[in-house]
Amino acid sequence: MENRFGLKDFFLFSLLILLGIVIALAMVQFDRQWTTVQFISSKINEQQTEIQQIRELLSKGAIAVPSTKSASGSVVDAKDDPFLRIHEAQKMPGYAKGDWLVYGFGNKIAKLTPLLSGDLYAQRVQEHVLDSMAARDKYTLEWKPQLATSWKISDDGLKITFKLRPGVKFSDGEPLSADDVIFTYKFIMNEKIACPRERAYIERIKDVVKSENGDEVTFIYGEPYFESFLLAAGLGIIPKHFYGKFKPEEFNQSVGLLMGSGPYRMDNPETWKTGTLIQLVRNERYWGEPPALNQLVFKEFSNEIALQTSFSNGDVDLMEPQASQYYDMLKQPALVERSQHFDFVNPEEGYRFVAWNQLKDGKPTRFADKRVRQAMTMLVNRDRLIQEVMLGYAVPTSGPFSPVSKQNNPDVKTLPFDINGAKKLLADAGFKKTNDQGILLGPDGTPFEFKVTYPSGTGNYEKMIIALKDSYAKAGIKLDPDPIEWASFTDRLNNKNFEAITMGWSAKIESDINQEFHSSQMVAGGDDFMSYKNEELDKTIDEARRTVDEGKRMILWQKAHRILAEDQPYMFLWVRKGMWFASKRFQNVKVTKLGLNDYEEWFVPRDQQKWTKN
Amino acid sequence: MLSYIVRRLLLMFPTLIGVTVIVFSVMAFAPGGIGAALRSAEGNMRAEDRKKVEAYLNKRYGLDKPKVVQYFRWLNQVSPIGFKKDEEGNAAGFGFKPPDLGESFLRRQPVIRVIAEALPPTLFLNLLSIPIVYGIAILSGIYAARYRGRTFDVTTGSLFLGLWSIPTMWSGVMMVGFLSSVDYLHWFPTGGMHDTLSAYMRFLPSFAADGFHRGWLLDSIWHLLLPVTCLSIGSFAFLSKLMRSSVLENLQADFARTARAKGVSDQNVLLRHVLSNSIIPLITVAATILPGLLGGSVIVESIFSINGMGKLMIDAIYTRDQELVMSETLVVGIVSLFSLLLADILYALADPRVSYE
Repeated sequence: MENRFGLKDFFLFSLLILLGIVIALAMVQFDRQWTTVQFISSKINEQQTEIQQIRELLSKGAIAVPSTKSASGSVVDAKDDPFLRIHEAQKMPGYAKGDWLVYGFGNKIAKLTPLLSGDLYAQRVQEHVLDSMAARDKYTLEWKPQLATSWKISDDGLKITFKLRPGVKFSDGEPLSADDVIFTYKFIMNEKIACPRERAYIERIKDVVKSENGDEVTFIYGEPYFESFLLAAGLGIIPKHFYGKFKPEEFNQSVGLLMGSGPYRMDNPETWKTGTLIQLVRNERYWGEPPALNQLVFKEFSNEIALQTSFSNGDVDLMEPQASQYYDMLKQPALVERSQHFDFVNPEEGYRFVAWNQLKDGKPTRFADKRVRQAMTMLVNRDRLIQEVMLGYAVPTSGPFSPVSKQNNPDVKTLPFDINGAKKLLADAGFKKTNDQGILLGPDGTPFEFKVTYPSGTGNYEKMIIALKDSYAKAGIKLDPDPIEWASFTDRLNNKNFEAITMGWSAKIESDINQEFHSSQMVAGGDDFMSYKNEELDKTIDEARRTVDEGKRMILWQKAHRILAEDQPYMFLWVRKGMWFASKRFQNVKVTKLGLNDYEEWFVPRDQQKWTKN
Repeated sequence: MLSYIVRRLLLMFPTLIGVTVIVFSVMAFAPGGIGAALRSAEGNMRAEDRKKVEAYLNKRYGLDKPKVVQYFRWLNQVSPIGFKKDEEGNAAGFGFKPPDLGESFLRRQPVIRVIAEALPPTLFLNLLSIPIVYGIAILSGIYAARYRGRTFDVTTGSLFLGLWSIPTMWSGVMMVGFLSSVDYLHWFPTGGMHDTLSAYMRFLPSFAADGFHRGWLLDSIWHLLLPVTCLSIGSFAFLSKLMRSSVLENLQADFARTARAKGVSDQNVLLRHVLSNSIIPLITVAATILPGLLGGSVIVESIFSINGMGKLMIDAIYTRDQELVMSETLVVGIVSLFSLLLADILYALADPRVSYE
């Protein structure tokens, strides 16, 4: 045959394919070079500007002492030294600069651009890059000065004035001024910027103005509000010259525009892409004390096993395991030997609960009776539940606050596990007889059966529901598990279409319980989805939210806690412990009142440094 | 032939509209909306704030309009001919316009960019595993048919069926657990496409004073080995059995016997006469492979932390990211229809008896 595919053809064909592959590979390599060249040229530009500035200073005849040092050097009073802990670390034996921290986490960061992402992990990256007026000291929970050297709050609580720290520069060398603070506020309030969440949050700030000489900024509020200071002091300041150059639509669609004045910065603040490694390098222009670690690397994992294996292989230095994982990892002596681990109760950990719907289809349910709700809690052995579901890594709670939070009322005890007491309460409420299947009958003769709706396929809900089913069966109450996919679950919440529902709330250092328990939130889509109402509680919450004085406010929160513990609108289950595994190389890793201390305080002795030696 | 192709191309439009209508309806009737994503990602948002955010997003993505309007709005947006809009979003006449796949709510980026980021890893993985699967399966199928009932046939048959029975989920996790763990055999990395230090690597492998450096290229291959193996091992059985039965059938056919009778060697009967006739069922299978190239594998991508198309689609569905789901459907739909058309054309080329006139 003429068109025979011979050896020669095969050879030619293979050569062609090979050529194709080589060309493709070459293109990949050129692309790598291109990124590097771009990066180098941007660095050169930056340095040129810097040299220019130095020249100007030289031509003026003197170089000012960098204000960065005076910030930490001249302050004697330890209370006002924002870098006290780093200074302490520097005196520790073996302190050295260098090395990286690779933090592995099981989540996907869609965006790093500030304001656009509500993602917890994106915030964990941003907090090292953006600075705010003040920050909470993790050891004392007091506010410590950052971009502001001092502040004062007007007597009516409607004005907060910050004195700006002089000489602060953004990571590209441009100075930070009052204009940047005003820009940040105006930027968020611009309807064209897709940050509805932040906008709703800081809406209480009516205006931000600067003083005549520009060294002070004042935040003005319309009404006294307990979080006023937090709103202003916690606002991450973004540079006007950088973010101002983008059109709103360009900004909204960006993914990695991240620049600030914090201790770390993005290597290149414009080129990060979703799904790639996030590398923060030390910001050499940082106004404060430079941290010891050269880089913070954030690495995404899409499943727990890979993350855990990477950690034990040493490819990841820090991870936050689930309870079951933590338990499992502690059982591996080799792993424990080469790492350090921490578990602690933290006011920022949220709580798990079961909410009892008191009003369904316009009619009060059996859970509208307080005695029934109390009995439902007393039938559950929460200590055992925590052992079984959370493997012991949680603490029972009597209300919506973490036991270590200042809002928590230490005098309120959790309801005891007491089956007989619970049966008595139920009998008082009219649940006396049982039917032939042993199920308790209500006052109207209907058997006590109910569904617990929970998100399917997430975490340990399955285990928890089975344990609850057992507990209730002992008192003749039948629980039907009702797992449902998350989107449908939220639909049920919004329509109040459930009998009992379980999920968790996250917490802040000071949590606002208005959202969950104030009767004004009973409206459609509100978070009082169980239609709970207590006028005294409503009043207490309103008053607490108006009170600017922290001491007085805490007393009110504690009162609210007492009411909630008595009323049991939720069965408050537990507050999860924070759990961490870190590589043993890191020194000065401590547990503070707010979880692990900042990475800025950690260091690796020179002989143990792994990723870089320089 | 040409008129047939044109007819098929024209038929694609109603088919695509049908596909998108079905997918859109399913999305529209599913309970829950973008609020679900807000609740899980931003759990501690106050209810009133969340309502504002939801209202803002609903308005921005047109989700507050009736479902029918939403569908036609989307159709108009992706179509190259339709009502145009100027920069302010006002109507600006009817005519040709650049098709726009819309914006993903999940990532808050244009869908085209989201897909462009997720596609290369998926495509890369599949382009590597498909030749491996096809090569091994076809060759083993032919040999199994030729030496039917002999050791080779029985061994490959049972081996491939065995591999086929292993769930990818399990094999992937076992590979990570045993082949990547420092406590067992630390031969491979645990996941991802590159090493943490890959940006600082040379391109090609090299030897330096402190030993061997694998370089960027080898590092990438090293990272891909496990996922590619995981993707491939389950697929041998089906193709190999298909090829085997097809070759067997043709080996016993009259034309093969005639060829042998006129003195053609066994080798040539197989390669010249039987093989070209046995390839037709494989074409049918190949037509379904192409859209699969884009679809990606959710399981493999999750286990090895690869951000590909499979995970993207699942995330989009869970968060009710309408524009992303619709656009992915459209892209996969178009590719599927084209590959089916391609298969039909290839039939005619492979088998002279097939004619579309």
